[in-house]
Amino acid sequence: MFVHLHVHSPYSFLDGASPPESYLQEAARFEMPALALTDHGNVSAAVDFQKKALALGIKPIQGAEITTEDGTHLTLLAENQKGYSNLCRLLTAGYRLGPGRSCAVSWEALGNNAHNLIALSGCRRSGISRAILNRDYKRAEREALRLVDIFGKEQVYLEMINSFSIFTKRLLTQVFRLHQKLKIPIVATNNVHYLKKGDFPLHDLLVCVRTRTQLTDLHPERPLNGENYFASPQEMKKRFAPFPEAIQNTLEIAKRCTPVLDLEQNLFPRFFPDHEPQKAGQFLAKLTWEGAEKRYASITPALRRRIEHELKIINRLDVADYFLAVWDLVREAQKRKIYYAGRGSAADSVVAYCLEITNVDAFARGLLFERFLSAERAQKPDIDIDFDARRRDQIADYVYNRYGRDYAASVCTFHTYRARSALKDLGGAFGYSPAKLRELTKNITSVPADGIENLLNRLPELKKHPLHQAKFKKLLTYCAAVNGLPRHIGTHLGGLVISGRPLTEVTPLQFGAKGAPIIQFDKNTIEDLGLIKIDVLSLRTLAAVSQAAQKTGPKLQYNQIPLNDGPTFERLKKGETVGVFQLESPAQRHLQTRLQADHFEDIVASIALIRPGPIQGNMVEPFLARRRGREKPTYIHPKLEKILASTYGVVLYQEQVIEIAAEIAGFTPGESDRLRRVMTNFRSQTEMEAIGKEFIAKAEANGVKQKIAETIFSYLAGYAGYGFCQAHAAAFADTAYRTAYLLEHHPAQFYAALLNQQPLGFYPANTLCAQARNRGLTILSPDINHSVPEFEAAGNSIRIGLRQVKGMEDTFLESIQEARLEQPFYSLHDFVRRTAVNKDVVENLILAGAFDRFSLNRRALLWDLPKSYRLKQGSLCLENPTANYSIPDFAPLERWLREYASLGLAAKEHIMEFYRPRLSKQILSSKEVKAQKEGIVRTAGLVIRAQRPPTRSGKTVVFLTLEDEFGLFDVIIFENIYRKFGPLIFNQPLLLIKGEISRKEHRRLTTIKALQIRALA
Amino acid sequence: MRLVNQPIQLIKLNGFPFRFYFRRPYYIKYILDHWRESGQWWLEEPELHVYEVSTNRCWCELHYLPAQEHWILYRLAD
Repeated sequence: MFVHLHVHSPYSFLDGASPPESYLQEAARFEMPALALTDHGNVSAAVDFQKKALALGIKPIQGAEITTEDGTHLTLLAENQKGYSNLCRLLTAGYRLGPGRSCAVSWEALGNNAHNLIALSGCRRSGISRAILNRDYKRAEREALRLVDIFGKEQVYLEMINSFSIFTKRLLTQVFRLHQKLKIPIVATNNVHYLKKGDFPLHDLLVCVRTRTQLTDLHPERPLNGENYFASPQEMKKRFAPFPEAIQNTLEIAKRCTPVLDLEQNLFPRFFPDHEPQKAGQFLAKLTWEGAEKRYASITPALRRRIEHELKIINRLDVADYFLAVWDLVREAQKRKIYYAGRGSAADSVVAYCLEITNVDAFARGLLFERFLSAERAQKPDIDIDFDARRRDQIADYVYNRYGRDYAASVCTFHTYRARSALKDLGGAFGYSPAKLRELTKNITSVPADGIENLLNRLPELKKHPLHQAKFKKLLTYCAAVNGLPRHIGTHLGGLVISGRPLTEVTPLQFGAKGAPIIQFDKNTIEDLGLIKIDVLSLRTLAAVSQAAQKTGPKLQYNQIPLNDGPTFERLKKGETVGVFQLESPAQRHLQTRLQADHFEDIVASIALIRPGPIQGNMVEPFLARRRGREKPTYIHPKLEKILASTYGVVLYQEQVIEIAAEIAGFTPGESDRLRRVMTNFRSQTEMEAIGKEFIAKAEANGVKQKIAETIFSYLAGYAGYGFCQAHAAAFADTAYRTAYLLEHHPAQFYAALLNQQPLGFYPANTLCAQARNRGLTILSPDINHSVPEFEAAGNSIRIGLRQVKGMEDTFLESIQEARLEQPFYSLHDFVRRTAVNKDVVENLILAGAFDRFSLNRRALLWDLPKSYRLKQGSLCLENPTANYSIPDFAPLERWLREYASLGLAAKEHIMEFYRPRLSKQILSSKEVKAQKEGIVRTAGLVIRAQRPPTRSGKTVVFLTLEDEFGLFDVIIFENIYRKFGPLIFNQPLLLIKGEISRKEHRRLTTIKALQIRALA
Repeated sequence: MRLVNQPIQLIKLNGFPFRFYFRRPYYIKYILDHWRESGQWWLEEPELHVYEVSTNRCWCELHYLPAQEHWILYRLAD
């Protein structure tokens, strides 16, 4: 028998081609008693590896292949938990020392953290192998003795790899001689990088990507053959026939090692570390009741019972410390006046509401706490909070400072291969030029890497795509093979973990771009390690809100905006919601005109309705029909009425699934939530049937007739994958409503704030400017003497900020502001003379209109610019060159296009204003189309957005948003038209549409059903 | 060193190359080194096994193509 002790998974990032589970399956097939995983400087696979190995009856051995400070490799295996913690500390030290993001472990660190680690001397890149290959045998001996000195004689093995590479014979012979001379035992490995020999090409491609070489290049890191696969015990015995001891020692080592991860511990820090654990629960209760006094006019018996119930579960699950940690964060945000909003299922909690973590009254809304936390589910809580994007890092810094940099870190995320990244990386390895790669990835949307062929066959605009050619077949095959493989590690957007013990006891730390520590585990595995995550997220909308509120002044109290403002609801009813959080997409705008929201609950429902699930599940139409009174809700059982009344009989929220299961089948709230999760994530029909039987049996026992129970279960099953968390919808609706209020009552400040936070939302900056103009606001060009870096509202106008100009940098802005402080600029030449702005950016400033105060002839200013720079560089002459006005200015359209190119938006006109005079009168503007009741129309506009969402029928439908000088309008393109004109939609900026007006019931927004599409030349 | 690159008939003994004939018989005394190359797999190039051997006459480099079970005397130093 034999055990593989040197194995690389894809978490060696571009150096392992097969997932750990495939090795485990093969090890099970070979009846290997154990298996080691030794990724490069990484243990990210450790949790899944341990769980899956134990499930197969295989002992997992956790290790890593490290790179030392002199660039040599060493394979380390953890004997036990202590050894694993030492390994984590070593890797952390390596990431601190290594250049860039690489890991280089110092020999000193090895000396300090060697206990309970078994060292295998390493592959061809080890110190010993390198010395042997250089025929420096004395050096090889010194390297071996160094390892013994650091780890101890009992802990070192000389690693022998027989993978039929050049000079292998010399290596094996000399290592064996070292073994005989120094009495250090030998061990056989195969330095495994993939499962089967046939997987070698994939590995070779990944190595090319990693080393930035092409297949035709030679590189020392590219093995010459495919022998580093997961060889069978028989094969390994054959390869090591002269050294049977090396095979036997793999079993000896495996016996010495034990599984290293404790998957039952809780590492969250105590809020009061020097007190009994109960103190946290007592303090939480005190804060909650104090908060309840503030939030509620009176504490009714029902409210009291609810709060007591939540506190009981929180204490039973021992997560009071977590709530207090989150409360501490939001308290800090309040102190620093940082806007925040709790979201997600935490809004199901009254305790969270009382602590001001969320702004959703879970009690008044009847939200179910068990959707967030239940004793039966016993999962750790997960609270997400959005913060003002500009200041989110201040909150993260507060966490690091409060708990210590060894005790807090970001959760990692793995960037995995998808279609475009696979094409780019593997195409580069195949030797295609950057220009060719751009051609190959053009119009390839975000699909999995194994979905490219399907996409090419499905989308009409890809009919003539070069990837159809036979010569790219191999490339597509390997793209499919890398689908989902992790390419590199990154930082999770907001997830932070805090630990009561040093994090390096359970995970190595790497360091992100700003030096912030990152653990090597992602959100899917941290709970197994005993860590809990707090999502400290960044939301640009809150930054916009904060800025708008600041500019509006004390007359606006954001948190006291009334939730029943008439004009705000009127705006929603008209679907004029560009800029409103979560409600601005074309689908939402149309929904609003049909829904005619007049209270907050309608907004909550909107957010839950416009998602693929409810649309495909045919929930939208029944909901609207009942909401508008055209249909009467019916309930097949009276108990359903109180649960579904607020959504007119339609199952819309996950909380409703839980409540129905509890009311109809008598499930406990925890059991119901378990049902909800199984139904949401169900993987097999068998499982669904089993749950169905349980539900029906319990419902019958609860007095519900079988047929009715079956019907109710079919509703739940049909809906379950689609449901939205009501608490999350309510949390989002809160921000949505308040931003709608800002848009209605403080448009200039809010539009300016939105423009300052781009990219944000559904629409580009140019559309926001067009919307502002249509509201009667004036967009002022940037002005070299008046503009500040940001967009700024003043009265009914918005001045474009200097930062919007293409190429503008902070150093240039500083230089402008400094010079301006002395005195305003009086000419272009004066500007060039007194600032450090480079010529390209000054050109863009001219084209943006920033120098219009000196001359409206931008072309003349451009013409004279080089002269200003020559004067600045050489001459002492103080002559102020004047613009050459004999040069005619740009033609209006060209002037507009150049302004647009330099700003990314247009201040004064819409491009369609230039085309309108040339179009025949039959081509209607969006204003004229809206006035039409029905019939065939022709219209034209700028393409803003094309969406291809999933549909009930499975057919392709494209929703196209176009814009002209009067606003946005929407076009629906059904499959037959899409097949004919698809390439135009995605490749042409201006389109001419012939279509039929579509108006349903009271729809106030016109939609055009496309019949013909042309490019507007 | 002379490039030969000619096919040969090789006899193995106990799985190891033992004797081949190229104008005259060569007996292999030692395998000095042995490795495998996957070649330009993206051009469907076959796998190659390389043997550096010491024979009764000189040093030789032998190539073996497992896909075709074909031996080649690639180079020798006579």
